[in-house]
Amino acid sequence: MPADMMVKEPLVKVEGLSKLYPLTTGIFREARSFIHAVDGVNFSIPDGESLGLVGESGSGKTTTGKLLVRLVDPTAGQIQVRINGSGTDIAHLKGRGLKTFRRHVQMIFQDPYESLNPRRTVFDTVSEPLAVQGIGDVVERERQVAELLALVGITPPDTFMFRYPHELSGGQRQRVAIARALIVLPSFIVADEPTSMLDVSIRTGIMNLMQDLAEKMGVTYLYITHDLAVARYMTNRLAVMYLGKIVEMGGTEEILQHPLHPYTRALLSAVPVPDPTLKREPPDIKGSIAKAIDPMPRCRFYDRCPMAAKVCEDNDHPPLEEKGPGHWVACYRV
Amino acid sequence: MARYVVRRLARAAITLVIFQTLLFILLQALPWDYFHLARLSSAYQQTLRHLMRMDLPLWHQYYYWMKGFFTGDLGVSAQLGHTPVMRLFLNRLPPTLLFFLPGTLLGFMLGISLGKTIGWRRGSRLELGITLGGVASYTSFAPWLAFVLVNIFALWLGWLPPENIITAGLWAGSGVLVEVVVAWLLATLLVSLMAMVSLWRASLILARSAWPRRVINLLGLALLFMAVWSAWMASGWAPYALDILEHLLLPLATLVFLSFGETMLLMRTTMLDVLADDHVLVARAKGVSPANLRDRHVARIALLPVLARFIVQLPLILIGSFALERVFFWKGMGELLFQAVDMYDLPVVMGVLSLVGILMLLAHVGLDILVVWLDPRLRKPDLFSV
Amino acid sequence: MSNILLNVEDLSMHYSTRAGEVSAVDNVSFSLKKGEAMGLVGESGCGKTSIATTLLRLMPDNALVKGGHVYLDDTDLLSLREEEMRQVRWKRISMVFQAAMNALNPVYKVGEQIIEALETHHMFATNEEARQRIVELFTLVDLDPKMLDQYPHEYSGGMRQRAVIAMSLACHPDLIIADEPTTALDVIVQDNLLREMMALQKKLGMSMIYISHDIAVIAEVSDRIGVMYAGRLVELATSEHIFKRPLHPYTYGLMSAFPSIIGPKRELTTLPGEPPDLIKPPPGCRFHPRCPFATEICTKEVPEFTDMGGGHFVACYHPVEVS
Repeated sequence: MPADMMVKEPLVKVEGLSKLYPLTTGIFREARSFIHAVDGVNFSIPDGESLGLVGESGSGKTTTGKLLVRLVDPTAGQIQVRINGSGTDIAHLKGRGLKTFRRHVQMIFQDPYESLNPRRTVFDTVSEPLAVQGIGDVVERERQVAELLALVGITPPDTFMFRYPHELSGGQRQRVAIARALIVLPSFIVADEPTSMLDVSIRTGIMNLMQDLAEKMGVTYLYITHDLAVARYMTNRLAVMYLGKIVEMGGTEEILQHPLHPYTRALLSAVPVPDPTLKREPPDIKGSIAKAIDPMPRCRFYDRCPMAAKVCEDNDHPPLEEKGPGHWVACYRV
Repeated sequence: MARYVVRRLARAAITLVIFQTLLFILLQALPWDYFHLARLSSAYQQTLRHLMRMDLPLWHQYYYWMKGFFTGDLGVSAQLGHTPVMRLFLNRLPPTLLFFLPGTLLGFMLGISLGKTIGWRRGSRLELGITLGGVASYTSFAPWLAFVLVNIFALWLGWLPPENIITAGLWAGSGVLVEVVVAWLLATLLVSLMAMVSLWRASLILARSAWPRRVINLLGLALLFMAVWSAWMASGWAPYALDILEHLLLPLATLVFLSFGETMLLMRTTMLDVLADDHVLVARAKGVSPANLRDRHVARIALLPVLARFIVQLPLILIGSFALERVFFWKGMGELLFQAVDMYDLPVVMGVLSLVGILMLLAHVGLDILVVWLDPRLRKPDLFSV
Repeated sequence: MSNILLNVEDLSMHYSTRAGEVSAVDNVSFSLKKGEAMGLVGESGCGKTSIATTLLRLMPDNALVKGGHVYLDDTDLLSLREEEMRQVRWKRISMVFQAAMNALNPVYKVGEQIIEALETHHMFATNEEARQRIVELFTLVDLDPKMLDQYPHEYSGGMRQRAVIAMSLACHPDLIIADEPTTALDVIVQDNLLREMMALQKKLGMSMIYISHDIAVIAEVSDRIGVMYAGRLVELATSEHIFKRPLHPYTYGLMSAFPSIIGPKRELTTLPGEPPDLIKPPPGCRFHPRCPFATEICTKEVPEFTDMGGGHFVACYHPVEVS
């Protein structure tokens, strides 16, 4: 293979992505304060990989996912997605361009009970993206839907095609949602906590399915979750978010075994382990999570950090620096 | 909370200005020649045109219109001998308030109380009966109902007078003015209302459990009643007041019946919604008694959307009460309005519209503030779930 | 003097729905010692929440108790009249509901709602006493007593859950049932809250029943664990035994299906199939359609809940042999 083809542009590249929400105050409702939901986030996802975005509520992970699918418009920054061989900044697309973009990027949502229209059959739901993008005719669509349903494990497809969501279990619904996301053969899928509302025994089925499909169809994932154990199984790279910023990023196993940022450490030590003989130490973190409202120009984690020092308070939020091979941390004290 | 009130009043003031302007445009937009319709002599027309400032350019008219509104000068009546419109209102407003306020209040309270009961205890025959009553109330045509009630209670049974605000014979030559007595009755009403509310709040603070509270409330009410009674007896106007009240009874009952239905049916629905809420289960788990469960955990919350809806209902109830005033010849603003329309008395009609606008706006603001006061979630923003 | 606080015997409960009768709880028996923390784990629909609501007699209108006894000390709670049961609620057994619930009345201050619990059970004579008690409770759960005069919507999720815990402690109950108390909370908040709940339990000597679908949480907080499947209790043992020596195939499958961040990254196994329809549950052992070890007897006879030694109960004809 020629050398220049081996160093390809990543599928998704995000630079300086920000989303600010105004808080209204005053008699005439002018925005005086802003919530910095996502604040200057940078990352890239190579082909066929899956990046996990982990964090607690208020970390900005869900908003980032929505930004990548353009369910929400960014306040600033670029989102470069490689469509048809060349990178396009989708951050400001409108109209036709946006519609074309949607063929390449799809989303799977958290709640299998809410993300399917209860008045539409399985066929209607899964074929809708084809209809919207004007692909094929009814016969052709039915064939594609059947193929995809079989692929996601809804077999036999003919039995399920014309059922309604209330006739399916949670796991089955989520499979239908996955089929819907895949039918336009996207190159990139944003999965927002797709298994958190499912029972444990069903969860693994869906997780395994998503991994199989990633291999078979070459799909790249952004996997959003608060559950580090799930992230371990579903992702090869991980980005930990706190109050709108990425504080650590790197290979999943690497981060889980050698966490560098104090927040990552705290997060890992807080996860309960299914071993009653193990005595787990409490996480090394103070205070409680805050809202990123007009954050002060210092490290966002300063209030809660066990290692906080003057350098952290006097300077802006630390930039991401490579502290190990492919392992990036945003901390002055590491 | 205070900030909310200020903001609300500020917005109300702006609305008021816009409203008055729209009325002015309405006035200018009347398609026919008013003076021709009113069949006024041409000399009189000239006077009136001048009095109504119609000989001035449009902007000047607008200026006087708005100025008059804010200074209480609503012009003079075209038909009633140049009486200032404001003077007419001062005579007519108290009877309207005496009728409308208790009517809406009682209707609302009855609706809430019945709605609460049938929302809580389902499936009894009582529920069916009350629901039918509510639907009847909601769907009745006001004047028709009034005629029916007058026929039964006034003409057939003879228990109550069929019309008017007073029995003329009783008052002739006594020197007592109807407007004055009505005004005092209204004052009594308002003072009593405030006293009752204070009493209720005091009972909540003084006693923690139900029975002592009830005792306090009853005692307080008894005292209030005696105070009011003796005050009126002492003034010597008691028989006149009673006469007015006797005439008030039938129209009031009609208004209450007409207005309770919608509230009751809505309250029942909201009760059922709230019953499914999580905190009700928790309250049951706490061992809270059924009565407290119903009142504190369900009704108190179910009340809020009903109150919000009530704000919208209010103008409609007012229209109903105006129609009733006409049917009963109850000498209030409504009766005046109909009379003025009959007589083509334009200034009076416009004046009534302005006044109704202000009243409704005030009611709207008052209820908005009440809703915010009752629902803490509306007072401070929910910062944790953005 | 026996140190058994709660004794549940052959409890069965159905819901009647339009589609038929749902056999939500079927012949469940277990006992709870004073000061013991028991975990009840299982997936959605297994009946764990139904048991909780039955213990407090808070079932919905369409629920029918089909049989069994719930002995609190020596009284069968199922035989009590409603007024008598109201005395038991909160004072002897209280409950902490799922964190996502709106467990607090939005239009009353939080302090007032806790006082309501005290009032209902006549636990104080004067307003000052009441105030003192609620300040005490808030300090116990590490909440600023100033928050007592605030409304629920002014609290964050974690704070609300602490307030709910404080409220559940108000009348010094002997038993607290915690139904998914930390499920909707962030992991660091969850850790904090669980540690506090465990500390409080030890300090106040209460018994607890933790209900969750998250086995990791259950592992950390419980002394003993009961595993439920399709309305039945299939295994009951100490936490250590459940994790190191699970005997029931379902328990074993559940453990293997759970991803963990510690230890080597192993293959996750899936349990084939879906939980059964409880309107027409499978005859015999309800797990047999999904069980790799099922034989004919499993499809015909319900296995007995037997003690396999050392208080480790299983209901299975082919318990797993783990080396």
